Amino acid sequence: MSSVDLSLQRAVHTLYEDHHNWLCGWLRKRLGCIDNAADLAQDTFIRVLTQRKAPELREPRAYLSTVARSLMIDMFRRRAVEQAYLETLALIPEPLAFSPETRTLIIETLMEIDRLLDGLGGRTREIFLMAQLDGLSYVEIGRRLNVSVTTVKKHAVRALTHCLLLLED
Amino acid sequence: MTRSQSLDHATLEAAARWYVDLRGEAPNEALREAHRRWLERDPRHLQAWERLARLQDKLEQVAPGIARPTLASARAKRRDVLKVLSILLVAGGAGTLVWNTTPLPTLMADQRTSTGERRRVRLDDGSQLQLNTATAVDIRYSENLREVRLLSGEILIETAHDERARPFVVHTADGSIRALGTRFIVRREADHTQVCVQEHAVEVRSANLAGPAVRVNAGQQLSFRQDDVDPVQRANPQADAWTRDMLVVNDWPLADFVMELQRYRPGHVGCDPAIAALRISGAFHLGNTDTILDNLTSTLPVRIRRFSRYWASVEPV
Repeated sequence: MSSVDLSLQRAVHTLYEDHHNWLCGWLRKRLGCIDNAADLAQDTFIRVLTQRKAPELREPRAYLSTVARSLMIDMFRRRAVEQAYLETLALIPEPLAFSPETRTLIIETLMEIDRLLDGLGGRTREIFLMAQLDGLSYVEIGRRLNVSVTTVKKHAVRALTHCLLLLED
Repeated sequence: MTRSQSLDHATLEAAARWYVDLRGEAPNEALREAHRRWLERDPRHLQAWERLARLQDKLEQVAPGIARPTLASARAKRRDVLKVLSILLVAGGAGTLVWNTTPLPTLMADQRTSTGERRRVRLDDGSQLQLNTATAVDIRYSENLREVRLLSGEILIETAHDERARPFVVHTADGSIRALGTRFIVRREADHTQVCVQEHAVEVRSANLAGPAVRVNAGQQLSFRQDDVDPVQRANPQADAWTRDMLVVNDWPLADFVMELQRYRPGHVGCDPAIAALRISGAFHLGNTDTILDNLTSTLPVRIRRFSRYWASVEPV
């Protein structure tokens, strides 16, 4: 283990000792649930550890709450996707049996797609989904939405570019 | 991480444009050749193209019949939560976000129905509240006031006599409706609220409008927004058909009918512009909207195209 890693670990350790209780309280106030708050506090420190930011933190609580907030939003995203997924399965006439692993994979993928679609306008998102998920041609999409093919393609390029910017290599 | 940062917006947009052009109708050999040259010109072009392929893979991992409705419904759920969340974050934790086994619906509203669901609720004073499909309301009874806030959807209210003579008021984003001992329907649309009075009368106040309230009597309806109130019209006598699980229409344009049906169906149902103006009359049972769609084909020159359970389109034969 390099000295950088060691100093980082020490810094996170200090951070944890000084602020863990405060963060748990901060999260509990917002979530109203002790278990979730403890889990998210844990995840927050893990995130800090992997982001290697600890040594240079000047306002640790502001930083911790920012990280915790984004994890909280992610948790809501996961729950929304999981719940929506179960509702969708319940509506499908032929029962589908997925293994737990497959199910986790599907949820992860859907979460990622959902994250990619954040920040796209309603019309752009719809055109993107019609093309990429429904497999409709641009001409057909234009016909259905009553817009020109040029417009459809413009939205498609915008949506694809948006997703590509968010994807990492 | 460092590699991904080296791909700029312009390169990624170029890759997206190539993809769209090639996917478009009848790509020719010249286009493909030009694309090949573009790929070879710069390693970053190839890198962008690979990223695009990975995006495609991701999108194909989940069957569209599942991905589509899940994403749509997850987004709707999240919209509600984020509304609460942003209030909480701004308020600096003044409130508490409670999560239980049916988290999202109860977060925002006291009473809520999902798409296709209808429900009857009895309020503390004996007043009756009926919720149509995809409806959310908050109910607040206080010392001096009985208040219902319609967040979305449609409700029918039958007020009961209150011993303390507290006024009964329905709020929407567009304004408020004060009941004058009565039975009436309030429907919240994207850009306005419609109120339809079946017995006695109500008084409507638009949110940003000063001046006297507008009285709406039995057999009348009107629409209003934050800044204006439309003239009173004759009420649609079948406006409450949904409380009997029916949709009753008289000489409606097909496009309007399909749009109304959409409210009761999870997933998308569209109407081809070519047949949008066809007229339709009839009484339809809301229990099964698929049957309603299928029945259209026996009375009108239309066919139903289905791509999945969540995507249907009414088209000319």
